[in-house]
Amino acid sequence: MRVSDLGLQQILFQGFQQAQGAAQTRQIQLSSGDEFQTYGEYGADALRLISAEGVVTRANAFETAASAALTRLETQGVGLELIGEAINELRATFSRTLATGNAELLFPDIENAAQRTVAALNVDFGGVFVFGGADGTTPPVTAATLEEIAATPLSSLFNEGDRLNLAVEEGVFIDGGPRASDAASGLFAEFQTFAEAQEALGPFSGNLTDEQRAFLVDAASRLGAISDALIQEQGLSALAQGQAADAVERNARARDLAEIVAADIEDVDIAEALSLLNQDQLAIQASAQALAQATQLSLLNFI
Amino acid sequence: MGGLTVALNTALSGLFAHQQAIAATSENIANVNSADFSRREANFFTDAIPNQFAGVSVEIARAGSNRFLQSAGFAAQADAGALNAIADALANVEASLGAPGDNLDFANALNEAYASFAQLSAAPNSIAARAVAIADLDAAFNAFSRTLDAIDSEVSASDARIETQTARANALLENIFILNQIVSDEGGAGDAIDAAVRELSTLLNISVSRADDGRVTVATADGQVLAGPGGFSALSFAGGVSGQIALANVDPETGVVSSAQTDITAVVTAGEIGGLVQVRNSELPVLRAAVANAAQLTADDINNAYALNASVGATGPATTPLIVVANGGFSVNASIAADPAQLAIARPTAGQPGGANDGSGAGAIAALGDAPSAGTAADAVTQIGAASQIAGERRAAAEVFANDLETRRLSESGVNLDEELSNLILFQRAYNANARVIAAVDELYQTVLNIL
Repeated sequence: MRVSDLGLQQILFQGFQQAQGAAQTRQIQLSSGDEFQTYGEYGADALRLISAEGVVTRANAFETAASAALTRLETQGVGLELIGEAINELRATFSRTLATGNAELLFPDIENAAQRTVAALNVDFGGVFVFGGADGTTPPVTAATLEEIAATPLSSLFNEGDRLNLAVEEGVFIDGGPRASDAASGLFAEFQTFAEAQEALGPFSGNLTDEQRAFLVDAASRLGAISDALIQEQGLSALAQGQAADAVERNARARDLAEIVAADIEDVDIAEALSLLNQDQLAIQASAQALAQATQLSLLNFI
Repeated sequence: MGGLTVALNTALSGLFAHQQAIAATSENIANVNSADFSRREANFFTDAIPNQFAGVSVEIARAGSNRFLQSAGFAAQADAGALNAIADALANVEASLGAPGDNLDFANALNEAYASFAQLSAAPNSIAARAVAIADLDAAFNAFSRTLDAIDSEVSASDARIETQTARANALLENIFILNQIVSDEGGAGDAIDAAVRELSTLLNISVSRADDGRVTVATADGQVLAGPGGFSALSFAGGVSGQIALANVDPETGVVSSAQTDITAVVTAGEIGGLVQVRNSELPVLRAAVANAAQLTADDINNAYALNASVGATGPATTPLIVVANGGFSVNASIAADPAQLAIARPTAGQPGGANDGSGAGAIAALGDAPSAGTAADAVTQIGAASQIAGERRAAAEVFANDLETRRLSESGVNLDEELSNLILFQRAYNANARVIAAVDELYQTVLNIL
């Protein structure tokens, strides 16, 4: 079979181009680390790749959200602990006062407990008042002192939103912890009762009267119930903290799994790509030499 | 003396014949790299008159192409041209998606937006988180719009290209008609016709028939004459919804195009024009519908979820949609985008004030990442990628096939330098031999004249 010179050159040039194209593909693979550069090249795996990337993106977001929720709940936990300590110290003060019959230090301790409670409830983390419920933009307790607490109706003492639910996983919400009113409305009512008792039963200074003693016995009992309610909120908060911590881990696992799936699809095998690049470069050299020889064919040397 | 004259004439005819053969070989060598050149062949014939003359004559002819290879080559060129146009258009649309990992495509951008809403649900008081969620949602619908715009641009570009290539096809058809008038008289006209027909075959699918005198008739696949010895036609393209290719006769004398047109869209199935028509009438509309459907389903899902949300202090659900659909475009509600505080992310219960920006509503939007509409968006991205990839692979296969056929055709009608070298030596030696005979006759004449 005869072969025309132009046809031969075309065949050799196509071979040269193919070798160049293959080498370029390998070089892009090595520089990007990706098997392919377009969705089309992944074929049906493109859908899996997009889904896996979506899971990675959302799992990352929920991991961040769950971490933020955990931080919020932990901050609340510290606040609840401080309030619990204030209640326990108040109960100890009541017991001591009843035991000694001397109420000289009673109200300073109540004042101190009230201020510590307000400070614990108005704590903010990153600009968010964690006991403000869904609305954490303003301090949830409007009063600062025992006197202000006593002077303000209970319904106006709290400036807060609804009890918050926090998204920690795809479709999973956990309790966002107690609001200021959930944690301390009973205690604040008790503070107001103290103030009213002072008005009705006379100032708590010096030795206790029988009426004052009877009031303190009842108040100590009510503080016990308030403490029990607070412990229940602490339990719920601890449960939510555990849920948030678990969610952080589950989100990380989901992200890691999705990243493995995505990597299996899109990551190039570096060793294979390097080997193929070497072959392609040899092919380029060979086809370039053949093409050069073919294009130098001339009759001039023979004439 | 009569015998010497016969010998002289015979040698002279051989001299002239081989001179033409050498000239033809030189032309072959000079055109070794000319794409549409068919090599010239020297065919020698005995040319004798008894007792007077016993010489040779030569006919220089174009090497005939294998007709089967040639028509198969035209069909392959047409297929390659069509698939090239389709692959280019779809690759441009695919480019609007960005590379995998860039997260520029609408499916990944939606995932980013849903992720931002997830973060917002954990920080419902944060204006910054609201702004990020809105911006990401806007980016997702911008990505939808970018791909829709890319598809629309490709339709426009295809229309412009069809106009250009239709004009080129018309020029080639007129050229073929003109060359048909002179092909029997001029050898070069045959090469010019081949070149014109070959270029035409890259523009649309044609069937070609040849007369013995070299004249060609070019017709559509269903036999409607495009150009022939008797006249030629002109193609026209109507853009818009119809995307129709029409054919009309041209008066060869005046160049006036007849107003009577025939719709040949259905038979123009290959060539660059056929490919462009196919991509703007079929391929791109299908992809556009898939993307628009995904965008609409996503917008509906988001708006339905958003309609159950409430703003700060509201006692009822949001009344304005989050995603506005207008004139086929999608965008985040401008008033909400301008003031992120308006974004309703609470979920009121039992008519109670939502009041407090509980992030449950944002969480409900984030949960749409698992909704069927998200799958539809991912599927649309995959569909575009797959269409582009398939078109690219088909183009590569068609080009290989067309190149192979072209190489085979060239093997028969192209120039081979080794062959030309041996022919050249052969013709030169024959030329020299004839020259020696003439010299010998001359010596004999001198001898005879001296004797006299």
